[in-house]
Amino acid sequence: MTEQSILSVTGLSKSFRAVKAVRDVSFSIPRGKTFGLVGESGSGKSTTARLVLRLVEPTTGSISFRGRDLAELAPRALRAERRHMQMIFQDPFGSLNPRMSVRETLVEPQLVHDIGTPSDRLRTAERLLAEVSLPRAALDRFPHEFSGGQRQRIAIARALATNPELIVADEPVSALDVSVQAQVLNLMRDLQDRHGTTMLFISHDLRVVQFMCDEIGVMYLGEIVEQGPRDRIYGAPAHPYTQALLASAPGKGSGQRARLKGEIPSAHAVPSGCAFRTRCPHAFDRCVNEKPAMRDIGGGQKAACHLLDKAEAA
Amino acid sequence: MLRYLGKRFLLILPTIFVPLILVFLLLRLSPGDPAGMMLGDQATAEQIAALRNQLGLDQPIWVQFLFWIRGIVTLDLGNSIFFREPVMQIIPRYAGVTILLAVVALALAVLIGVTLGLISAMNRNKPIDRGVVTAAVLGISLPEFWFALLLIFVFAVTLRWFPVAGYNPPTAGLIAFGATIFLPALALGVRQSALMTRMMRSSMLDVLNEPYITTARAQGLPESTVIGRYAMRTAAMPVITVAGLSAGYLLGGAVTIEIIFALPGLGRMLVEAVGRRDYPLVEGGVLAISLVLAVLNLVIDLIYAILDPRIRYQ
Repeated sequence: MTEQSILSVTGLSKSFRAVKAVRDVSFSIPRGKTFGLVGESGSGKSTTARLVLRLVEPTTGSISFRGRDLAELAPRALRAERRHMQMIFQDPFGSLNPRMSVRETLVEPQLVHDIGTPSDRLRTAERLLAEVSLPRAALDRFPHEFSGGQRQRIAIARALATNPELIVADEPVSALDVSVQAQVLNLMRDLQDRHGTTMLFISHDLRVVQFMCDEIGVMYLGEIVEQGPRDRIYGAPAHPYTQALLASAPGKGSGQRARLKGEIPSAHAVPSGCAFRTRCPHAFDRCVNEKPAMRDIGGGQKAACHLLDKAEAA
Repeated sequence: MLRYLGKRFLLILPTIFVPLILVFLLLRLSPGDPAGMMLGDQATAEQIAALRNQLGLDQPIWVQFLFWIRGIVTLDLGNSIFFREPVMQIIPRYAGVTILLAVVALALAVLIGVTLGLISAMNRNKPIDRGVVTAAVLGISLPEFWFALLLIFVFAVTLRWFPVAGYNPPTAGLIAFGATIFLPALALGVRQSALMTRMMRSSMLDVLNEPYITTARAQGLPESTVIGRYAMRTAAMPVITVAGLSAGYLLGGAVTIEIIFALPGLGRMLVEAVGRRDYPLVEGGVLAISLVLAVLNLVIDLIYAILDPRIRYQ
């Protein structure tokens, strides 16, 4: 939308039978920037990530990537397009094929998309290893010989192998020790700067998202309830859910205990009106009957809450 | 890899000796005297004593054991009491049939099991999957002698496609051999193929849920490669385990089938030898079976190591 966005998602929804996992999600990411999706488990973040890559077929909505609608692409064209969009998963123990050496793991994506000659591919594999600070000797070893952080670095190297324009990272550091997390996150930022990659970054960890992302979308029960530039979201959160999330982050002063009560409701039975009303400290009559619309509140920040109407009217 | 191989070879020895010691003891502790049986009702006590002395049966049991061990080491297993010819000559005559029967049965079982399991997993919860699962349960529950009789009735008696019983060695021509071995092998292999179908189905379903399968798809690999190269190689592991167990079962459990189809195999020979208290022949037969089993297990371990690099390095 603004500038030239490489990825633009509009009205994306996914239902698994009665379960509405993702509802009417829209966002766009400018080239070279990072968009973060935060939310509790079950908020539809991961499904959104898979929808964007069309690993899961969307029920409705469009995914405009490099000027084409991925949702409409035929299987063959979609496969070819995958060269430009790669993924990093949460579980570094599961996302690498245990039967493939690091060399095979790094060469395979290039092979699939017919990039370079065999010696080019090997050179690329060596360069990628160096970029993620692993020794050349790692090429002939297998995933089980590495630690979690090292495996995730291999997964990152693999994601970069086809020099993609978009990387979707689904909780890439949640399975790692905190000390290793910082290392991997720094690496991801360095590589992004160097390659100019655009990133969709998914995490439930607010500090990680703050560190990584330029723009943030807060998800609740399959919807984006607030989105905007990082500093606006963290500095002046407009939606009660965002406020509660920030307040409940650990290390935010012991006087202010978690304000979020209970569990996220089941996606089988989404509450009427505003989905968040069952846990919202400010809920009133209108929230039960009427679904709040997304409202622009300036500075690129948008939120969906009836309180914003009230504030405006007052 | 060589060290691994050597270690596996050493581990074979106890695998062979434990069943041998058990058989040696069981035979000698069970009632019935081979000398008396060989000479018939008319024999005098002196005649029996003389024969016992000749066969070494009047020696203390540990002396008999030492003689017998010496026989194994020098590859001289003595003469069969009944056939009056060296055991080392009798065994190969019968073992060939049993091994061929087991190999053909195993091949049929793997072919049927892997194919049906794969079809089933790829069509999960569709009618074809339910049909295969039902057939597999039926296959596991059917007694093989009943299935053998059913096969004979349908294909040999009614349709006359195959002979009812008897055996042609492979030297008599592939078609002649195939005609006599197919029905017994199918009857013998049906339960194993049902087991493998279920194994293949469930391990395939497990593997398809692995993140690295999603990664492979996300990289843009064609579905045939994802299934063939990634999923099947991993899913094959439990099936190979079952195949190994099956091989043991097929070798030892062929007795009924050999009797029904009148095949001159090791199982039938053993049963008859036990009835005649033909000690040397029984011991030789058990030695042959445990040797084949041990080698078979080794081969399966090696296949493991080839398919899964994690095993090699442990």
